[in-house]
Amino acid sequence: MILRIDSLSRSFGGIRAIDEVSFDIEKGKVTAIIGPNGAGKTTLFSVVCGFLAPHRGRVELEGSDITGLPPYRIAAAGIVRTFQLVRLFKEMSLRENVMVGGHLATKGGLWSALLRPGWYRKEQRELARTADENLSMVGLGSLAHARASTLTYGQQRRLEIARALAARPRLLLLDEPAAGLSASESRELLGIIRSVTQAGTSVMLIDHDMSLVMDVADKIVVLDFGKKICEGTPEIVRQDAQVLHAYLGKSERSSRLRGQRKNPAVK
Amino acid sequence: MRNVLSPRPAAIAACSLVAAGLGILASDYWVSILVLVGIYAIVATGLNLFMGYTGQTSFGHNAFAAIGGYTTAIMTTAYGWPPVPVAILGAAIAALIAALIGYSVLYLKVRGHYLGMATLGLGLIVVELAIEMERITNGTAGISGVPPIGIGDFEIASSRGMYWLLLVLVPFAIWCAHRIATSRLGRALKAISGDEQAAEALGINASAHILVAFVVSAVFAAAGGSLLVHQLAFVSPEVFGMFFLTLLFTVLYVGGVGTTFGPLIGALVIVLVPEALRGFADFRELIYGIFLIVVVVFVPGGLSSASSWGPALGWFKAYRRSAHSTAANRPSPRQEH
Amino acid sequence: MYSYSTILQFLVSGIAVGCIYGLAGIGLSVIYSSSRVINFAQGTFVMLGGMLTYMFSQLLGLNLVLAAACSIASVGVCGAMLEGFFVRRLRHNSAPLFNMVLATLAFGIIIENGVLHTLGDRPHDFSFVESAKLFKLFGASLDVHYIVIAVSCIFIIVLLSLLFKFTLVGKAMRASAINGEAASLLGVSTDRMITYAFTLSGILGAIGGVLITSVQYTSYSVGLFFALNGFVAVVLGGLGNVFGAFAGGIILGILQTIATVAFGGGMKEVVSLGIMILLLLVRPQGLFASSGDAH
Repeated sequence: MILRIDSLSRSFGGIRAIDEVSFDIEKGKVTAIIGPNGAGKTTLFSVVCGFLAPHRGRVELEGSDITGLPPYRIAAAGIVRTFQLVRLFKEMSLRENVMVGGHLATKGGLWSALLRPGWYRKEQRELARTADENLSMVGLGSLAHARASTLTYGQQRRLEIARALAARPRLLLLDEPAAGLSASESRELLGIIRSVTQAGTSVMLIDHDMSLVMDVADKIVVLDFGKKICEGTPEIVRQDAQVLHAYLGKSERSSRLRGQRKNPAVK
Repeated sequence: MRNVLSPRPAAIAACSLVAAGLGILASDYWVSILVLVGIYAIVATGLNLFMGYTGQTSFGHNAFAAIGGYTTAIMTTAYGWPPVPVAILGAAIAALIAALIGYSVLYLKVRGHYLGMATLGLGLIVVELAIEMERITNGTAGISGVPPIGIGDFEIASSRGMYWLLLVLVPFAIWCAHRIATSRLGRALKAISGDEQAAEALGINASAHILVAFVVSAVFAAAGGSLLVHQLAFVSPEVFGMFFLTLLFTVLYVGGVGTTFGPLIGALVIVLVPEALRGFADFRELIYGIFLIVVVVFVPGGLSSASSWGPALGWFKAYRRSAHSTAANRPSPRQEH
Repeated sequence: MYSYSTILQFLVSGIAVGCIYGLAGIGLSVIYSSSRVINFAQGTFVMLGGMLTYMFSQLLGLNLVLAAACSIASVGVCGAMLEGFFVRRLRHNSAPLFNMVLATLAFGIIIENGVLHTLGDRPHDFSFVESAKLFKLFGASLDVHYIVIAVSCIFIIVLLSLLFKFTLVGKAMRASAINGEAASLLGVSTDRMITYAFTLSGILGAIGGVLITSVQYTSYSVGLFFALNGFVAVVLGGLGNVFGAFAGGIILGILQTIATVAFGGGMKEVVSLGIMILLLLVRPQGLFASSGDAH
């Protein structure tokens, strides 16, 4: 187990975006968080990554408590995320973008910049080389020197993943990685995610693309109205009654509950 | 940030020859003008790190130049300290103040307009203090008779001497800035400029990095301030007031924010061009204001950036088009952001 | 220690200056709401209000009230010019926000220098009411112009509220500020709303300048001072909150008075900066947080 989420709660105004959510992320596996819109998935992500503070609960990364730490500390601890709307450094080249990802894996500040000692130069050369490798791994190797703003949306997504991987995370958080991708691009993404876990990195992802999720996830956690309603392998989740109710809203009860949901901004 | 003029050995050699030639052949008057170019280039290079590469806003760097300048003036005249240690002291004080103010403000995630206003306030306070603390600073009358810069018995007593000094210091300053910009630190700064939150998600402590850029730029400004005071042999609150700030911004924007040689080019243009209109000495600030607004509106990337000529050319083409047709033919407004 | 009546005079003058900060702050707020630009020339509008009135009355011999009216109208035009010639062009070129801010700063500097070279650097003031008529308030004698300031500001605030709440133009401006795209789909021209915003800010700033010059000297260089304090007033009130800015201005004026009494004259900028930092530390959305318009 690499990440333990324990009774995590966070409200906005009067609405409980996430409510006593608890589950574990297995090491080296892919865990998917799914749920209807407004279920609290992105809030969960933001809390785990330090962009939001939880009102209750803990997050533990391999035993150490990382609850409420600022985002850069959590990244340093080994959790790196991508964003739902791709956030690249638009004016920098692809290679530079990925090299920024490698910031955590390298050292050197002001004095290294000015004096450039041998170890620093070596590390930077290594960094450039690894960046190019990461780019090749996601299929963008030939565009290393292009400006990030010139990429297509699918390419931007892949760049963001390559950049996140350069930080050598223990746990990679992917926020709707398949959003806006074509079917073939989603297949490629699946391949990338598989190779990431094969290399030893754990993955937690949110997505709405059910075929991708069912294919790639080792474990699925289902949220609805901020609460965890199911947890298990894809087969189990696929057949769970509560999950079906949450998505299909056949029962009267879930229709009434959904009618009470007034704040569409919370996810 | 695109750099139209990237350093090529031949170009550098040629420029060095020209610069050396000027130092030998130019008249005293022009040499002293070029000294000002060099000083502004140094201060602008520092500010460029903070505003260009890190993408932040400061309207108060004249404060740090004033700290450097006044430390030099006070310590060399009233206490007879040697100039070089005093200059270092001035830079250290500026760095300390920048660190204190920067730490309290930047770690509160103050950015953008608020940071601009906070630094503007800082600039105004320092100038106000220079006026008020009369016993130390001699108020609005200022301090004159500042001894020339030098080490031990060797003194740089003439403008020409200062020129040679700057011929060494300016490339050094640009080199330092370039080193920083192309390093891991520089990449982190550019990342923060691009998307601060994304940078933090990759482990970069944005506030700490911005603070470093702030302090470094303050040191450049203080060094420039000390040099300026030595060159003028005089300091007063006016020297580092709004005019200094306007000039600084104009230099930065004309040359091109976020480029290596932008500050130097800007300094050359801004100091030299009005000299051709020398009769308008009193109107300097007005001219620079006009220059600034024209550059910002029509040539936004500055002279050393290729992208900036777009709007200017577009406007020019539109003007020609409308001159050639009967109906006004202005380009339609693009999507607002 | 100061006498009671001196302190009261300080206080009243502090509140009066605070009202001017407030007017400048409202102007800043209106421009910011419509275009996200921080107008560094706002203080210059204040300065122009006073200086142009002086020019129209002393040099052109106009009746003082008429001079003030002409001055206010001219500054309104000035604001429109700033928007029309510079800000609009930058907006249409998708220029970074900072360039727009810098353009307003440069504009302010140009105007300031223009005034310096035409009207000189001597400070000026004037009086609306015949010779120093005083009135008694709580035992202290105060210049009657303070009443003019108080009444004018109340009048303006009421007028502005009516404008924004009940007139079509006012509602259009608010709509455009809240959601420019939606408003433009309904026929509200964002460009024109921004022009109105700049014009209105010019008018408000100039009114402030006219009022304050009746009790205090104005010279060509006071622009930046009012811009900074206007901004702090806005920070106090909350960036989206137009009338909060006015209240913020008054609070700032009072605090500056207290600091001046306690520590002496040159402390005004220190107070402004200190308040701003304190507020950003404790309550960045302002004291009267309205729609939670964040940085």
